[in-house]
Amino acid sequence: MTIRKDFEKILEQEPPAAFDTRVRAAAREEMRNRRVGFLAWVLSPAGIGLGFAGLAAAGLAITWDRNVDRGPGTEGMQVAQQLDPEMLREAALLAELGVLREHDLWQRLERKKWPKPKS
Amino acid sequence: MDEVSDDELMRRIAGGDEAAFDRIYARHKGAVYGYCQRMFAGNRAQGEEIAQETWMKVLRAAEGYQGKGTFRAWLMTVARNEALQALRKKGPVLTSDPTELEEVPAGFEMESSFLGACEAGEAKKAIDELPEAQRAVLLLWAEEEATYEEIGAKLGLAWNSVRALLYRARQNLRKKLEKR
Repeated sequence: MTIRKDFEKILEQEPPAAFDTRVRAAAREEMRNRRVGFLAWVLSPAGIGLGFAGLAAAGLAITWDRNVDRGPGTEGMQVAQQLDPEMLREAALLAELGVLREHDLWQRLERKKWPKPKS
Repeated sequence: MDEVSDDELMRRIAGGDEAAFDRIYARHKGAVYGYCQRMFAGNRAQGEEIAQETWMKVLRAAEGYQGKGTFRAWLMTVARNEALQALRKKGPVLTSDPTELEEVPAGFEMESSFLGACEAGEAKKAIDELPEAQRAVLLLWAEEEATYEEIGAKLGLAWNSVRALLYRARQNLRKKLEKR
């Protein structure tokens, strides 16, 4: 028998019921806090911004593909992923508000000297 | 019989399953609680605090838990690290009694079977009554099967001090258990 096996037998001690209750309650609270924390992050400006950026990246990828006629979205997505995240976030917000039209978006891309799509 | 493995329960905990925590806690609560109570013998509240913190650490680590080795060994490492951290906060684990560090017989090596035959309840009490430094060294040696050097590094002690403390711990335990 190893030392550890000897000691497991010797050291084991059932905790009192009050301690069990306390640990289980603390565990439930910890798990709930983690769920609430994640939800709070999703709804926070950072989470929303990242969500918009994701949408914008997808939107740009689709638009790019449509304009450049390069087949499925993979290549367009790769290009969109290389764009400035700040720019994407701004574009997503403006598009969401109906302020930015597709035409404006491409103008912005031109000013930044990004690859120009085929007309 | 509860057939779900510890690793599977950890995956469920990572997914937010509260019932999975209850099951894994029920399986291992005695080992964690007992270990923490021995480490902080005479201070039940602190032992309970460390045991609870161990379980909270398990929850927080569930997402990254890789399941290398057994869950029990990993769990006890978490408990041991929590206990050591608390011991270090109290200050160096050094004995105030110089006789504890006096020379020990040449060739002394702690044997693995010295506690095997005694009753668990009696041994618990005897361990609790050891001076703190002897108890900490003994528990680290036994639970982790660590070398004198490894224990010394964790507690800030020289290897020969660890050896002397283990020798005194064994002597004390023998005396206490013989009297019972």
